[in-house]
Amino acid sequence: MEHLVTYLFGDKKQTREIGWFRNALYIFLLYKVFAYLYQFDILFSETRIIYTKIKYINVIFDMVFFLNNHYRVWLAIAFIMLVAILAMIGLTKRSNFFTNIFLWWLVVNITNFLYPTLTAGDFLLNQLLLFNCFLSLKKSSSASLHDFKTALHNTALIAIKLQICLAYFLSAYYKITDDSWTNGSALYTIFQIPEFSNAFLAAIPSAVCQMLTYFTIAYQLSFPVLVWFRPFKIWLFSFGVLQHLLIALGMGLFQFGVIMIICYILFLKYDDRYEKENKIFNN
Amino acid sequence: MNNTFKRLLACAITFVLCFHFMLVFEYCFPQSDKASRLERISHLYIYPVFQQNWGLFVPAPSTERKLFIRYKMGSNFTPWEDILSNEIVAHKKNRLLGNEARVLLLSNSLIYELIALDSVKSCVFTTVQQNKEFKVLQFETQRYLKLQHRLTSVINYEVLLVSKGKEGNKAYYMKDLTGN
Repeated sequence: MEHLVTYLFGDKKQTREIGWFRNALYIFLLYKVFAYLYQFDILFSETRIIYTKIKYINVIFDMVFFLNNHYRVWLAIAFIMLVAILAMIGLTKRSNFFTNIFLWWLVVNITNFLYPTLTAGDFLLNQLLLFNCFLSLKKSSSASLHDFKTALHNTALIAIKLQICLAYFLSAYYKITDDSWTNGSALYTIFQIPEFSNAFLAAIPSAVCQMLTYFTIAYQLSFPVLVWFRPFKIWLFSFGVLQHLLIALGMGLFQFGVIMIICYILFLKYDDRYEKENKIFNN
Repeated sequence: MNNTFKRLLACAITFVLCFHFMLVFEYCFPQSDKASRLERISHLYIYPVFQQNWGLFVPAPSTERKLFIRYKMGSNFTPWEDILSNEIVAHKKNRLLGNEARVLLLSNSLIYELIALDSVKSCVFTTVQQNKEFKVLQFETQRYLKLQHRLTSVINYEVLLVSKGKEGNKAYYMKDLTGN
């Protein structure tokens, strides 16, 4: 219990990494705004090709399907522009809980509107933006409020990390229950499909693909455990970044690849205490 | 904040966090291992705000799918156009322009329709299919034609769905489709 209280109410953890993580997240949102505007006709206009259906179950449901249920072109433009404005506010370090929660609500609405075009990366982005609301880098004037915010900050940080570890574990679990992954043929098969491949990937020999298939499963299975141990992180992140760049640029799931790489920022130095203890020891 | 309150808050936070991740885990874990009551609760809680799916590339896709389309101009049809492949090529040329959404949109609708037709052998459909998967695909192809070719009047068009894979090749030809 004491450990838990110390963890939650001690210092705000990893403030530097969270700053980088937030900047990366806001820049990524600005990129998404650019992509939305570039594809506006096909995604948001009156003549858009996305099939949408009004989903009204209750008021809470309607809040996250607001754009979908009350669609107007100007509303779609307003949502996109507000995302851009709030992301820029975030980049200039002026965001707070309310701007971040508003940003999350806007993005969830856009995500639900574009449902048929989503990847796992979009769903993960929603989670990251929600937990991001509780991360706070500024100091509060009142001591009680500061304690409360510190507890929420540290909880949100651990929640993001747990979410990423859970994603890797589940992804690995699905793979080890599937024949094409356990017999090692999965990546070779995927690389022969033009939609998820290019000339380079399609030419990779079957034996190399088999090795990569098993390596991917091993990586995803071990990530939730090894990421908490400092010596393994350099190897995990090197392979992870390469893998996600390949997914982003080679297989064409660009946004998914990028958002996964952004998540690694929070694992860069998970244990500030380790450094402090080392400094004390060295001094 | 006194120590007792801190302890209470720590307990509450831990409970919320455990509850959240238990439901996320329950929602995302493969179907066969689920208890139905917890599944209902997790579905209510997760969808649509915490929605996620981590069955990435499981099973590994082994079928190449193509979506051909042609429309009537005057008394003749235009040549067949493989719109999904065109979008894939455009996306490969530049990964940054957001063409990913266009590819995923057409590809997902095509997959759902081909799954719906799984038990049907290759054939020609002379009447319009009434299943919801085809309605979505029809809506998208119609709108796509209008947007890409700037068509304003009523269009007569035809669709050809092709899947090539280890299990064999299949083709479905949908004739006499009309769109406003």
